[in-house]
Amino acid sequence: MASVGLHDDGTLAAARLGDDDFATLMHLAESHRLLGALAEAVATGALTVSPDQLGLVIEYHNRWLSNALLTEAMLLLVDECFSEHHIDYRVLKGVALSHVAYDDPSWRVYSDLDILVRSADFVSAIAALCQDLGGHRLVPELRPGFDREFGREATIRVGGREIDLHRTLVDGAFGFTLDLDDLFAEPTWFDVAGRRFPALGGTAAFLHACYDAALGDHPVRLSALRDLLLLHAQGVDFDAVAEMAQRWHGEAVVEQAAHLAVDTLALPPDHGLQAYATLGSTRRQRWLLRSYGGRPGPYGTHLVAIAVMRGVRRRFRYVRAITRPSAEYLSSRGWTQHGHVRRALRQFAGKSTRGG
Amino acid sequence: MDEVLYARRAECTWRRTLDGVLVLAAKADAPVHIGGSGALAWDLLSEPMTMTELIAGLTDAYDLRPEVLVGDIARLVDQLVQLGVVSVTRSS
Repeated sequence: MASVGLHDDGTLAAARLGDDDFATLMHLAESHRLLGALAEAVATGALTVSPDQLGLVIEYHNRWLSNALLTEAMLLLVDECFSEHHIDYRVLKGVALSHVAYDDPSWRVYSDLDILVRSADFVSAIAALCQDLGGHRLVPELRPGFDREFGREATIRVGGREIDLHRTLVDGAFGFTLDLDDLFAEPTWFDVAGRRFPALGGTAAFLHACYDAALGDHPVRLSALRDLLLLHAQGVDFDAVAEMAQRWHGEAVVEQAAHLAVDTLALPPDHGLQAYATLGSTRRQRWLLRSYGGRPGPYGTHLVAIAVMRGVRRRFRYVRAITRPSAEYLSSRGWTQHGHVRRALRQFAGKSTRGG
Repeated sequence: MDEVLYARRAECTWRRTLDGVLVLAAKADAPVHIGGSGALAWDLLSEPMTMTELIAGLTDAYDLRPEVLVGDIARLVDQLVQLGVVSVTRSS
């Protein structure tokens, strides 16, 4: 389903699925944010459904699209707020991709609004959203000053909806090595409600899709792979991607994303994404890559980031924040300092932290 | 003579669905669903047009006589105006 219509004969299933199989498909489509692709498959005839199955697709798809519209309405408010405070930003992920990568934004669903701001504006952007839009931050800063120097994102709740405000694209080492200025180069513009909004430029957007696929959810969410395929299908400049990936010290990330797409979606040997599977990553990058997802857990991802950090004092501030978060942070999560350390040690020992 | 023109409000956001369109008016709390021939009316209203032109567009599409649709379409457009998703302007 993640690649339907992109490299195959455009057929999702040769025959109509039974209701049990269809229920499984619906569940997968929703958990992988592919209800838009499922609806597109029904609309184009790639998937034949019974009247009851059609009713289910319509019900779920419409519910997600209602959410998409309300999320876009939030974007209008954020734009007014940031314009007032002279905060430059880029729209990331679902809201932007539905408009710039998909033929019809109805074929991409999403749950929240992702916005990138510059490091220097990160704290003031949070304050602006809280003051002007009545938002509140769900989890406090790890330690005072952490966000602006090291933070990836802060989630702000405004009127029951969530805004993920990003400073960089990913946690851990690769979030520190990428060039944040590249993200604010010439944007790709898209229109909502008669207004223009800035998304990442083409090369940066493709790289972000690679980072999201390779370093985001584990196991990978299939919508991330469909985003990658669609951005690639739009036409990306291989040399520009390779050059930017090198500048970001992220060739291993792009290679990993390409491998994931090729293997998971069974892409043919002549598919253009195959070329991105061999960019000449270094052994060090591949070692850093192993700190993401699966066994290392979030503590491992954070601690390995020390390897790419310059300056003893900076490393010290980072390690202190991770190992000794503020009392406010711990309290917001219902944790104690002792429990926090124990949780980290259990993760390193490879034990589950659920319920801990 | 003055003509009344109807058009989608630019400040609305909307999505095509498998059974029509979902439209969210500016400042509204929830989108409205427009199904059936209303979805085609929404498509046509991307440009300002008179009620007569709108009905002509729909009767062409559905191969119906105008008098069959006129009442339904007038009611639909009235509703969309009330919901704040369609604007009404006068042009001489």
